[in-house]
Amino acid sequence: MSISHGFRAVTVSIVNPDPARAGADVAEELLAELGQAPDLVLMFASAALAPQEVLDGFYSKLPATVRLIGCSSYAEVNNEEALSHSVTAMGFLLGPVEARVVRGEPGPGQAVGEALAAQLADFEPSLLIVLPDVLTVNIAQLLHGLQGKLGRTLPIIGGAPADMGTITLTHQFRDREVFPGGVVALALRGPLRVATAAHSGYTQFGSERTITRTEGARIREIDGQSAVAAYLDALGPRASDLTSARIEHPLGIVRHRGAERRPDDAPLIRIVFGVQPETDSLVLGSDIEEGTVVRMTRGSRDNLLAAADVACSQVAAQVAHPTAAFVFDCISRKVVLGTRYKEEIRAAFAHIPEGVPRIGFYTFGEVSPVHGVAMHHESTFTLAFLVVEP
Amino acid sequence: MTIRCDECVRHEQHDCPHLGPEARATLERLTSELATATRALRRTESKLHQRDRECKDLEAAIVGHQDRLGELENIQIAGSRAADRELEARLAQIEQQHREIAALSTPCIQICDGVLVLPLIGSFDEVRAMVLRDTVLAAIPRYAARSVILDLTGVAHIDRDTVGRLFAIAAAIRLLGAGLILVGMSPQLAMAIVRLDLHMPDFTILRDLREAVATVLRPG
Repeated sequence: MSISHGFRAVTVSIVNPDPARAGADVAEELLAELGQAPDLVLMFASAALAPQEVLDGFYSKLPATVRLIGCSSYAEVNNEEALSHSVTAMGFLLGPVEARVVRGEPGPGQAVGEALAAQLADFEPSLLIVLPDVLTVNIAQLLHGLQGKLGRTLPIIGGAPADMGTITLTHQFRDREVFPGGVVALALRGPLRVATAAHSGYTQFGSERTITRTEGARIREIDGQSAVAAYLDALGPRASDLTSARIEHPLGIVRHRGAERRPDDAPLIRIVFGVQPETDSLVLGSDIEEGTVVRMTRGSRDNLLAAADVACSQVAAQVAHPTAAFVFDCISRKVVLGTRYKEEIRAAFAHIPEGVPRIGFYTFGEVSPVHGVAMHHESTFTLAFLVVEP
Repeated sequence: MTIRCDECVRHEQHDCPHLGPEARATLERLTSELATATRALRRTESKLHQRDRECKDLEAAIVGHQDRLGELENIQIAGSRAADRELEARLAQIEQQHREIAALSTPCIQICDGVLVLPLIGSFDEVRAMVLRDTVLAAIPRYAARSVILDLTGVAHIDRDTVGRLFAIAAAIRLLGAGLILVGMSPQLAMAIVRLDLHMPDFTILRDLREAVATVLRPG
């Protein structure tokens, strides 16, 4: 448990194949840890569990006044480790911090972002935690919409809800309600600040290719040729197993059109969520501009582990005594790391002071600032330290 | 919290005179211990489910690895068979090429009616001996040869096996009714034949090819 000037946070996890029982036990654990009902709960529930039953079980033990935000996940991170098939929740007694939970319907990302921002216009958040469904909301556009109204440098962190790897349907939670698609967000304001870092560790290979025709989040042509053909050609024999190949070999954005990259910038990673020969397009989770230069990437286990370590070192260097820690880690990294996925979390936890509550999940995409501006990432390990100050 | 004994509960008596002040403390302690035990049970149950899940994940991973291993073994076996087949084909090709080279280096020249000349060059191994035998034994009836001149000037190395092969061919030539003339015998070859003390078949030995040609063309 972490107590900071009246702000308290605790994390609990329950693994139980009965979703209602898992939800109820999480509520009981939060009550026992905090000694009272939490003001607010951030919950990540395995997509293997029926989400409404989890929430019904949870609220069978806690009053309806407890605010809740959360989503379905591929695997979860608690105080001790990465685990799967759990319901993991961080309960807060907010003290001097104020919170507002908002939701946006599925739709064009920019409009969804602006609608969310409108709900927060009078709130002036210090931090926004977003859980946007990458399958129904364009995350890059969502961020543009939010940043356009709330300020470009507003700290925004979060992760895209996940399913069990089929990339078909995710769920968002707000209080007792479950939504398939759209976005839920938690706005916090008060005496708080955050430190963040994001690193992927994916290695680029092959030649630089320029995207020459796009339609939103669809790549239609690369170097004037069919995007699907170019991608399959780049994958080579791996193209025979596209489900694994598109997770293990995402695209790395070398530079956006006309943009200069700083020498130390790691490439932004984009998973190819869909390969559609019928429309001759590659489907990404975010818009991509014509003129963007990309290369293929591959993830080696050692490089991925090293990248997570670098991210954690950077955050730890900014904040020595965090109040809480948040991990948003991409599902693709768990797939690539295989049985070594727990090593990544262990290495990360080595940088988090003992006793600091932490929570996270394995996502379909991450949101974390780079050079002070929140960006949409994929295949990336992100860490955020929250500090509640006097 | 009101604490009453069973009798007071039965008689719906709110103030129980039978239980002492320590009863409340005991009840609170027991309630607290029950809560602690319940929580420990809940956590233990969760851990058991977690370990069970991890075992299933590991089992799935093992099955996946075994499947992959099986695939790799099949690939290896298929690759090995393909490699064996390729190697065999290459060996057959090399052997064939070797025979062709040997045949090219063992020419059989008819210099005039009934006279064949076979100049030997290089090493005279088993393959070349077979080629020479096949070539000369086929040529004798084809050209109705009465004389075969075997020029050994270019033979680089001689040993017991080489001499044995030559003598066997000489005997076969004689059986086909042709006469054999050996020319170009080097001092080393002559010494080797003497040292080996082999039984020499019936053939003529002359100094060089010109002398042999003159001999076979001489009338009578």
